[in-house]
Amino acid sequence: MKVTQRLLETLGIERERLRLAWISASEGAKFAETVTEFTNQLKELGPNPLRTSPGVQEKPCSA
Amino acid sequence: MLLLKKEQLLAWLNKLTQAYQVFAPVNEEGCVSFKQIEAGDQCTLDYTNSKVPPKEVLFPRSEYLFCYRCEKEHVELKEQIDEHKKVIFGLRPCDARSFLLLDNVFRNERFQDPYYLTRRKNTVLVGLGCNQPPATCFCTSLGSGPFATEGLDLLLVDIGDRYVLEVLTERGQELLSGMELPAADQEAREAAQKVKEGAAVSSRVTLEGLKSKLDVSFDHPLWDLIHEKCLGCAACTYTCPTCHCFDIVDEAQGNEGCRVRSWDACMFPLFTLHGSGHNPRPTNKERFRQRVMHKFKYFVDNFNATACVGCGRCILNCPVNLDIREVIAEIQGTEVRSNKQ
Amino acid sequence: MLIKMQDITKAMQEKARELLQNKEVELVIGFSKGSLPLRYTPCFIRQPEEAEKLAWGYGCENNLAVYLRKRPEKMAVIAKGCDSRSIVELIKENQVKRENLVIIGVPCRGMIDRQKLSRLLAGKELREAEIKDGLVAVQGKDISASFPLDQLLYDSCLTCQHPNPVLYDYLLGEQVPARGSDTFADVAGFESRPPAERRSYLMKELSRCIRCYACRQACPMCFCEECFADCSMPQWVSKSSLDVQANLFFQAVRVLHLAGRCVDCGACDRACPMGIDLRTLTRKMVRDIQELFGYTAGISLDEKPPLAAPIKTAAGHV
Repeated sequence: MKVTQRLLETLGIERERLRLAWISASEGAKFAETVTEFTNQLKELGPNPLRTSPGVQEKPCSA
Repeated sequence: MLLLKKEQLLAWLNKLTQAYQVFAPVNEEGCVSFKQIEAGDQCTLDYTNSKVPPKEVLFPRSEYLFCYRCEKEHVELKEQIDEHKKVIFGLRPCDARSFLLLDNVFRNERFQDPYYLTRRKNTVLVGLGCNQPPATCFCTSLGSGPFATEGLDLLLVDIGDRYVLEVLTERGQELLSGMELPAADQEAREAAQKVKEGAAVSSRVTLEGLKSKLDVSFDHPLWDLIHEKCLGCAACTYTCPTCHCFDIVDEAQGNEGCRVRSWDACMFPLFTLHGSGHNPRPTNKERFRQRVMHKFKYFVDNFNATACVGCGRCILNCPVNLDIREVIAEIQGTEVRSNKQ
Repeated sequence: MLIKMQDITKAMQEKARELLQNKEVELVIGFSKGSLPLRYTPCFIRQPEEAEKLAWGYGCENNLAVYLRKRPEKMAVIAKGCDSRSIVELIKENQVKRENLVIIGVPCRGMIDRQKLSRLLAGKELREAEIKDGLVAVQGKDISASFPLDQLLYDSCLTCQHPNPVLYDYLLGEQVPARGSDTFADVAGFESRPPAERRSYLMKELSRCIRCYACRQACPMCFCEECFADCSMPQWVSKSSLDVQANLFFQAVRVLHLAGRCVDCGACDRACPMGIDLRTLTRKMVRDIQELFGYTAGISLDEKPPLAAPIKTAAGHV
């Protein structure tokens, strides 16, 4: 995890975009909580900055 | 033959970019490739040859063939045929010849490839003769030459401060409309002649007898050893002006997607891997043999031409210096033996 | 120095001849003179009388460890410092049997980067080169120049901490002193740039990628039966080389797969026909693994790799 996070950071992708959490099947509430929190965090961070970097080709169908 | 002063070149290129998509050699970090230019000063004509051949203008590394969207009742298709008028400017005569070879593949009795052919039809080729062919070039062994005009619409011959311009087709003539260039005088013609005589292609391969040797050498033990240092990458095929294999995949998301065609290479194991798990070319030996056979035998069988223009790119770009000239020499040096032995 | 190279060549030929004659090995993998100036090329020798083809010089740039997997026969290999380190990792990953391998170690003074030379010659064609007294004299049609050898060596050779083979059966030539310590200043420099700048640098470099996979194929440690980049069910990454983001993604995963295994030999970088800077990322990983786990790949056969645990079964290693 640490290795990957550090790599992402070097690529110019915030390390907060990658997270690992251990949740048991019995911890439903914790699961929902974690996912909600992570989703909110990602929304705050916005789209992946690599996607909006110059040099990314637009797919003709996405127009 | 006309005369073009070097200082006129920029204005001409700028003018062309208004009416055409102009693809010209562009130097990026020492890596020259054919890129679309917006203005004449982006291009460099001081180069030996491009890293990736200009085939990528007509047959891109990757292209969208069409896009689709699946609705409840029907499928919506949007075809992506590129109809822009193009000029490939400053390509070498060997690369111009490669288009004649590629034409066989994309336009024959069985198949017509509209993506390539539409671009081909709308593209004018302006060649640049090679005053100093590199030591890895062996174009003369393949029926071409540093000033060969085959396949070109115009040819520029650099005589120092000016270009002698050979107008070869009507399409080439059209590119010069409104230019009013003077005819090349005696002196310029002689200078061009001198440049041509001075451009020696020193490297050679012997094609004579090669095909008949390959005809009977599919099982020859030579294939066991000749490929050994090959790493199985596609540096040779992707920088080859005549290699044309491709892969087609759908890149889909939800109910919509695009069909994409990308370069593929016979040097990759997955190129021939069947859905069943069987691979008719299971090892590097079979794959390397295929590459050699396709260029110097199968293509000859199919189209009566050798699928090589002698540009030397595969020699320069191979990460382990596996030299096609040596491969040919080795095949030529083998005893002919029958397949049945 | 040229004399030394010739001496090494001679000793190499003799050793290869001896090993083949005594049937200690069936195959010797080394280098012979290549077809381009300053270039040497991998060669495979099976007969004692062919041993004279072997040669040593400043163009033996390939990592020969890439040829060692899946060979049943007993063989000998010429190994520089970096080649030997890859061999160590391959042995640890059970890809190469130590007992089938005779390692002929050669201390390495660094290899010449023909791309650097080409840039110095402003793209003009090199026709001939001669190396004498630490100087490389080059000739071409309109060029005649001379450069100090050090100026032309690969960056990976300039930061190399292990020019001498770490594992060998025979050693040819004298040990070479290691260069001053590698501070990874280049990686730190890159990381100190703002994120947007890092992104745009990498995207620009990888916009040249043609997906020939020479980087992958040249790497001794990239040996997956099916690379994730080739996989189509599911398709992890776009096959289109025009998708620069996918090109970068491929490199990122490649680097991640090599974490703790990469010996920073630079083979991927050298193999790239498009001259893309691949080492910024591979070196970043080498440094991170050193920082996080205190591990340097390919130094010892006993030290456990930090991110891989070979499974031992009753039948042996899996």
